[in-house]
Amino acid sequence: MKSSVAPSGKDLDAWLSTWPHVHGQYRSLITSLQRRKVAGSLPCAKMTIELLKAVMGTCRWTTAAELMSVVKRVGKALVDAQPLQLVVGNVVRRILFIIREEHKNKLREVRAREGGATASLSDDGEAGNELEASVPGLRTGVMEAIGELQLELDNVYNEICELALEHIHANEVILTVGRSKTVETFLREAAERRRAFEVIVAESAPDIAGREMAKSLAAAGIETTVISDSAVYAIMARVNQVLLPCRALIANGGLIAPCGGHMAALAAKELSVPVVCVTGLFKLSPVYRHDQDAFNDLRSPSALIEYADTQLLPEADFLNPAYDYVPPELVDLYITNTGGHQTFYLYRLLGEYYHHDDSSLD
Amino acid sequence: MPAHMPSVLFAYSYHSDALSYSLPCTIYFDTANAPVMEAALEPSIPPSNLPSHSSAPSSDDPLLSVFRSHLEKNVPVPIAGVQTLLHVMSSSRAVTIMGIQNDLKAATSELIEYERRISGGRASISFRACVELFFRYATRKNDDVPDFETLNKLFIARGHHFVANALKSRLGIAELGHSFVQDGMMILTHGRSEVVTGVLIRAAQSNKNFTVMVTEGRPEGSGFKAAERLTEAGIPVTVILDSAAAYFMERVDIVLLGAEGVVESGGIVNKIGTCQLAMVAKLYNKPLYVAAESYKFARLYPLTQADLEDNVDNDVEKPLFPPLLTGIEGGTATGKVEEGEGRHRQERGSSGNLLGKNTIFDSGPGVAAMTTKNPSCDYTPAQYISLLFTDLGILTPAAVSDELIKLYQ
Amino acid sequence: MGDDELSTSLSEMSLTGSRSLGGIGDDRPGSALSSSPASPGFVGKGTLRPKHKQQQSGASPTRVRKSSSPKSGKGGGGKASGGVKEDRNRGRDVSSGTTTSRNTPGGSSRCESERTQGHISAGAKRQGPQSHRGARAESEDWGRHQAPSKMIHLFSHLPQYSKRSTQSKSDLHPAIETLGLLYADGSVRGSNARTAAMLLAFKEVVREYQLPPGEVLRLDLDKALKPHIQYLINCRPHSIAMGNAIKWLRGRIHSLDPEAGPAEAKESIVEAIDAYVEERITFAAKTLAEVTANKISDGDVVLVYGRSYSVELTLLRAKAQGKKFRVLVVDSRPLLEGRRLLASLSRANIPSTYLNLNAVSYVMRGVSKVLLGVAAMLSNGAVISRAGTAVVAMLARRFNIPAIFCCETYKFSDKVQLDSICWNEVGDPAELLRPAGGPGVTRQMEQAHSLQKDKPGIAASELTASLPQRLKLLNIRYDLTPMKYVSLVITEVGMIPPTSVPVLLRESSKDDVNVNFEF
Repeated sequence: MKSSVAPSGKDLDAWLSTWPHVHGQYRSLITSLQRRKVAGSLPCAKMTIELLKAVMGTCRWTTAAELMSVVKRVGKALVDAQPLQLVVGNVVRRILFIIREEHKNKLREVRAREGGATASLSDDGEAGNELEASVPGLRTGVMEAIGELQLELDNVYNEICELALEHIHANEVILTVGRSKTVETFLREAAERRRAFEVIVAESAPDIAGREMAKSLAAAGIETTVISDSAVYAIMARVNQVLLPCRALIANGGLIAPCGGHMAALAAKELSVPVVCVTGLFKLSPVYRHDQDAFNDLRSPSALIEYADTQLLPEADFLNPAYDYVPPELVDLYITNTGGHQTFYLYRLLGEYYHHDDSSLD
Repeated sequence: MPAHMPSVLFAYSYHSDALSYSLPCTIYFDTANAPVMEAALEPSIPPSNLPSHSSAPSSDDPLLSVFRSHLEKNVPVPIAGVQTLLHVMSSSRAVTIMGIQNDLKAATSELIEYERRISGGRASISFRACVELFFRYATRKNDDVPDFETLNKLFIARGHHFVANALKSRLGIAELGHSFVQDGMMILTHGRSEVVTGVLIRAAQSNKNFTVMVTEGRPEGSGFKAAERLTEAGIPVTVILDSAAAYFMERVDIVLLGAEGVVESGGIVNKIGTCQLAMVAKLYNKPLYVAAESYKFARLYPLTQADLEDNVDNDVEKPLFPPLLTGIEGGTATGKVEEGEGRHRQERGSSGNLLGKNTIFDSGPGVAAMTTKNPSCDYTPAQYISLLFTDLGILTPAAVSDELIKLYQ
Repeated sequence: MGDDELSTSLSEMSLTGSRSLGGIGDDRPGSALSSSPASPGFVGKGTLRPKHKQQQSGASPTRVRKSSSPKSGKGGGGKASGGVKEDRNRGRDVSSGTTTSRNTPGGSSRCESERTQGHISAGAKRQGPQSHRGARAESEDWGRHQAPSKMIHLFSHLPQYSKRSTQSKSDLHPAIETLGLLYADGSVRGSNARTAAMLLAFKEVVREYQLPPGEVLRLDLDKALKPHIQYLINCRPHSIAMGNAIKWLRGRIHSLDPEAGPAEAKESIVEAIDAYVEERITFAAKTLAEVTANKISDGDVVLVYGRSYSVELTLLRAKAQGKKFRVLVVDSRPLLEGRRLLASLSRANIPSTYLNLNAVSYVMRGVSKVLLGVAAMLSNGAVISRAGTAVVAMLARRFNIPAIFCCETYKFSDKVQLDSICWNEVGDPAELLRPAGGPGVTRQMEQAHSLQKDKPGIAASELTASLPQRLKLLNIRYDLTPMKYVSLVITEVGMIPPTSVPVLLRESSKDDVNVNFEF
């Protein structure tokens, strides 16, 4: 008989192999995370949920504590597979939070049925060990709540787009950097609703993703201008709003943007142009960092220079960071699937999505 | 007092009741009212009438001896106060909730007055905040529980819970905060804070290599004490003049401070010099973190430096230059820092020894005519603070008010 | 006229590559100018005289890029010692970057001999006729797309980029005509190079100028210069520094002694031009490099942006002084000028790191100094320089890193400007369509590019063909760095705060010719 407590590390793999279906799913997600094959944060989040759902539905557990340890162990393995893809950790913590909440609700129902004064004593949060208690209906409750979470993720773009017209006025000049599915959808939605505005896209070297972005926007009927990144400051003086793409929203209210985001946000701040970040809240991560090294990734310099060329430059090395940390004071507004939020209020949303005891998955 | 009543009304109602327990009023009212409250406080416990208020309190005051015995166990002063109150609660002979509350109020006032004495004429914000919070937390009424006995037990249980949590908070903060210390960082700190040293030592224990720069913390030289703790823990420390903060700021990566009190705006009240340090840090875009236990959260809203109560700023009796500059020999006060001498390398120049004897102010006719001002703390507004490390989690300054509203609900 | 367009766009595509190659093969310090096609400017007292009269042929003119590639192995190429003066011999082969179809290798005779015939023909072969047709179709296509509807309203007050304007008139001096083409295709780039080249070309014009009977020289010469100036402006709008030089030259002509004979007057102008180039540009750059190099200390991490002549000289000078430092070379599309600087630094064994403008935030924390070049220093303390400079300076200030601007005093202007829009230069929008990484710099790469030339502008054609109607491209050349980001301006007359720019302007206008060189 297998222990219902999931082991950590390598043993986890063996433990999961009892259930071939789940194990296969687990391996394939781990591999694609390791190889960075999952493109985009949203698919990543969705796949993580699918896997965790499968694990929860298959593995043996009786109490919330056991379930949480399974989720944590699997989650940890996923996070370790690709530590820079913060949404994985977000989703894992979100599910842990859901389990806690469901457990609390079910427990309350049970207590209410049993009656008695004990219920009133437990409201002080002294109930640390209560997760050990087995409550009926936890499984269905958690699965339902996760279903809602999936629904929420499916609707992220729709919800954000609903706000498009509120934040874009007629004849506005909007600057954006590189390519972002969220920003693109947001702008296209506004254009579809017949708002006339102009977009300036910084091409975002070295991958020049901005070009594709611009093509897509222009195809949607938006007046679009491509500029090189070097023109950002020059043009900023005539920009009404900067829309920043976002890879992760971090707990202090800052964000991780594609490389160049900091530069654009700072230029905007210097010229008093509002900086708005359009993003789904599934990217909100309960982690704190404050420097450019935070969750950054150094990409291959091949985008900067041909390998053969580097042979002629013995004294030179090449640096191609992937992301930028944009500190909270540079961001004026987050437009999310739950509405507009100020940077200083993000701590509150964190409290609604995550439990602080889950910040470490160990 | 119904628990659901908004806290503002709650505080005011104390005032109108003119109860001898004036603590919430003193803390809560803005400064315009503060003098009134001070006046209200004074008659209730005239210092001259209390033998315990002499510098060497007689041991026959049971309350204070309990307090001192807790202090001797090296717990933070506010927690020692709370433990004393817990003692009062469990040994109270009152048979009504009101009676218990009154006992606690009386004890609280006495403790505050005593603490004011021992901390040099100024009750610390954290002490007052902590005992008030304890009072609120422990004696919150519960309508589900009708009989006094059960309720009293519940109160005491909550009290123990409060103390246990408060005692754990430093560890929790160290656990949360140490991840902000990264390899190779230069961390600037000011004054002496057990929480900050806790965070730094925890970081050192997790094998991070970093250096700490400590301002000397004039006039009492608290920075040296902090530096000593840190060097003992194997952390490289440099002590600098308080006035050299701007000079060194460009090399600093983060500023990490403690706080005497965290106020409603998310700003902090801390050792004098904190505000200017924070301003320099802001100018250099260096993140400034504050490590503070949640029991230091006070329902104060200072707007200017003058709003800080009791912040003695014209006390000529309290010398401005001891003990660091007025010479090592003579006076018991200097003894405290002697131990640090010689161990601290100096960054630069030999023109002055931070600890050395200085005779400039020893004599001279001009000295007598000088006015000196020596406030012990200042207020640092929230705009200069990046994050607070607390036992409630990592908070942005905006979250402080949120937590305070919840704590005092 | 599509010919010019084509050759420009073609060479734009390939230029950087071959030029970079030259940069790498060229191992002399101070090669910033000398090794570049810009060098006509740096011929100093050399000449820019064409060997043959240009012949206007209907055949599609082919531009051959004659960079100072190792192949062309010109004299002086291997010398490590070269100061700017030694470079003079060198510039020649570059100045010959002309249109071969016109059979006017407009370079100096000295240079002519240095170039091998094979080199030319190889170049000619690379750009065969078919490729031209393709390219022409391409650029015409592009031209249509970038027609008025593609104009950026915000910049519609500025001359729009157009290749038609490089069409010459027959009465132009060939040196000017050559130079105009070099301007247009970006072979001569950078304020120093452009200004010097222009002055030296004017010198030729002055030399060959014949006073018509009955005219006053100081009026007629000015009149004769005007179409030349206009032509150069048509090829590429002149920079503020060039404007300064033109103003100075015309002032000089106007103040000619009416009593002097034509030959004497012409000679005095020629001498004055040589003196201006020598003192205000060549020597100034050298002097300020010396001063700036003193500002670099051991252990410094110096961040530079793009490729500025004086900054490059400074770094090489600092290395020669034995300083140990690292250089972060920040580059940006579309020009990728920084690559040539990188090659030059690498040759001088200066450890360096190459990164994109977007990555500046990432590295700035570890930087100790930022060195930037200047196109024009305005009297409100603002700096006009290559686009992107403002961002770098802004980030420097954000991280409290001093931003040092290197600026010869001839670039000081009494103009005042607050933004980057009132005055700017709209560059070729198609540059933005270049492939991401830009061309390589190795010889293999050059070959690869020669292949690419046969199918010109793959990326461009694909993109322009499918360019949606509402898509515009904006390629501005300059931006304005506000005074608040300028920590220090280093000139050949010393280090000044940006607030002192008007002071220096006032002082130097007192004795027009110059400010003292005292160091």
